[in-house]
Amino acid sequence: VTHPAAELNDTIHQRVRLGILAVLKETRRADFAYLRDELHLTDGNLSQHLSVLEDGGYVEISKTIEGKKVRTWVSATKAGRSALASELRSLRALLRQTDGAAD
Amino acid sequence: MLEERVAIDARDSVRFVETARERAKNDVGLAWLAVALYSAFAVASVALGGGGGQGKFFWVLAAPIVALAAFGWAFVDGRERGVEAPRLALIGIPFGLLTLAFALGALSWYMQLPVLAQFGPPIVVAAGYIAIGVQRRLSVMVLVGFVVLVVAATFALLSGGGDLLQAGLGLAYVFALLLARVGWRVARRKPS
Repeated sequence: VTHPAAELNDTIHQRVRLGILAVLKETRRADFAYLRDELHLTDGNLSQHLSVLEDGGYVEISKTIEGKKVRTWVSATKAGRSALASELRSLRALLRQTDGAAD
Repeated sequence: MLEERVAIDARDSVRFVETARERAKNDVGLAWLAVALYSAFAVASVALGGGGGQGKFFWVLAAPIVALAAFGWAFVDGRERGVEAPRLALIGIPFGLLTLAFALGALSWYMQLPVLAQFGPPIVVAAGYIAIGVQRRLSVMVLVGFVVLVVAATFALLSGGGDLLQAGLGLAYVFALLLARVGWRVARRKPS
């Protein structure tokens, strides 16, 4: 039997990346500033995490011009949504296992 | 020891994800409220149809205008905050529920079951919203489901009460929904 920890996805297991996907799962898309503020990150930190997620095919990034400003929108891909669901399943299985062992 | 550390990390991650999801859900909630408002008006107009006459005509005209205004408000509000609601769900869910509700209403009239024709559509819409609310853990949607039921029943009971009374009741209903939204927003501002 495989240990639930072995099922964890290395790319999205990081807490902030999980948070980004969690926000995007509930929305059609969210902008850069919203994600930064909601997850209490700096611009550089968020950019770094988004690059990793984009490279992995978990999010899509698009830019729109509004007035004279460029606005960056982020949305979760199908792979991103299913990776989040699978990661949460693994985390909960892990918790069940460790809680069971503690009893 | 390592196992314990992994469990703490996992529990922390799950809690973080749940909090982030709840906050995002609340931020797209206004759009849901707008479509719920639209459905409520639509079923209220059906309930009014039981009494026939001018009241029904008034609501059939008012419903799309109010719905458009509410949806536009929700869209602008969401974009200002940097978040957009899933459009497919926003359009698909009320469309599906209303189609089902009006089909039931039409069928009931055809089969000469006036009570079912009057109360069936609001019950379908209300049950739909309650189910979505429970599934998505959105308490406001559950509340909207119950409000739809109460409003439709009240409108039906007062259908002989004249257009002014019905219009007043409708305005009170809109005001109650707006108040609920303000309360929601205040709750949203509390630090988590």
